[in-house]
Amino acid sequence: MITYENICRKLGFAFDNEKNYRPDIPSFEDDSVINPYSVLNEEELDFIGDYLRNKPKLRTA
Amino acid sequence: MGGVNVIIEKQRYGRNKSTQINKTYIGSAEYRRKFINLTDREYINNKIYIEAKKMLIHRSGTEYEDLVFINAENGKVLRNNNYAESAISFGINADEVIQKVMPTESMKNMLLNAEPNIIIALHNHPNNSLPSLADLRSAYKHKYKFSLVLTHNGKLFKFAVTDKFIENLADFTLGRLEKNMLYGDSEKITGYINELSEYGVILEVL
Repeated sequence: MITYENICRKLGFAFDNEKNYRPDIPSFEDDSVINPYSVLNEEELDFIGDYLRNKPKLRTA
Repeated sequence: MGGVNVIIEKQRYGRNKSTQINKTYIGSAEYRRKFINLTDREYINNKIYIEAKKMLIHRSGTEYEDLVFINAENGKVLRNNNYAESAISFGINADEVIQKVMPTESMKNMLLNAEPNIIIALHNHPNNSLPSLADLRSAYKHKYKFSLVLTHNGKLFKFAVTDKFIENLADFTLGRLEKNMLYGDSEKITGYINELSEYGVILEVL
């Protein structure tokens, strides 16, 4: 079953955490970690897309 | 004897046949044309092209990366084409330096002394991937004029990160784009590239 919790568990982080998003990723040219969304299937990606689109956006960068 | 084996092993480490470039294509007019409109100055475009070719030839067949900064106003060029080897020589594990690169001290100074949107950053992607979240963060933090990712299969990803940058949405959309790049759905690819611009990432695939 596709749920917010299951997807976060699979990714290893909260995909909607705009204030502290993937803090382990540095700010220099480091391509050694593959994009984590590439491990998800289309249904899971659609779920995230819908979830994020329906959430108010914070500009945090 | 053991010492010799260690040296040979270090030389082999990071080498990977799948990351070999196609020298004929990189030397072709088609590849050259990708560079002619990168900026409105022919002189700078030529510099970028020369540095790009050098970088790809240097890192062909390896998983290591080089980084070049070009000042778009005065044409000054600084490079780090020794990041992996230097780190390994200081005792850093070889598997910790593949597919990443950092600027040298003089490159960091170049960034500090330059106005925003002056420095163009080039680096290679041996595994042909799209810009990573770390690449986006670097472009945003260092206020590059733009970044250029040179893939070993001959693609160029030109991107700039604006003040509208929303990290999680950009990262998610890059993930979707990456998946579709593999399957070649051009309509979806265009859609995701347009979506990225809403999240502060202006990406061109050349």
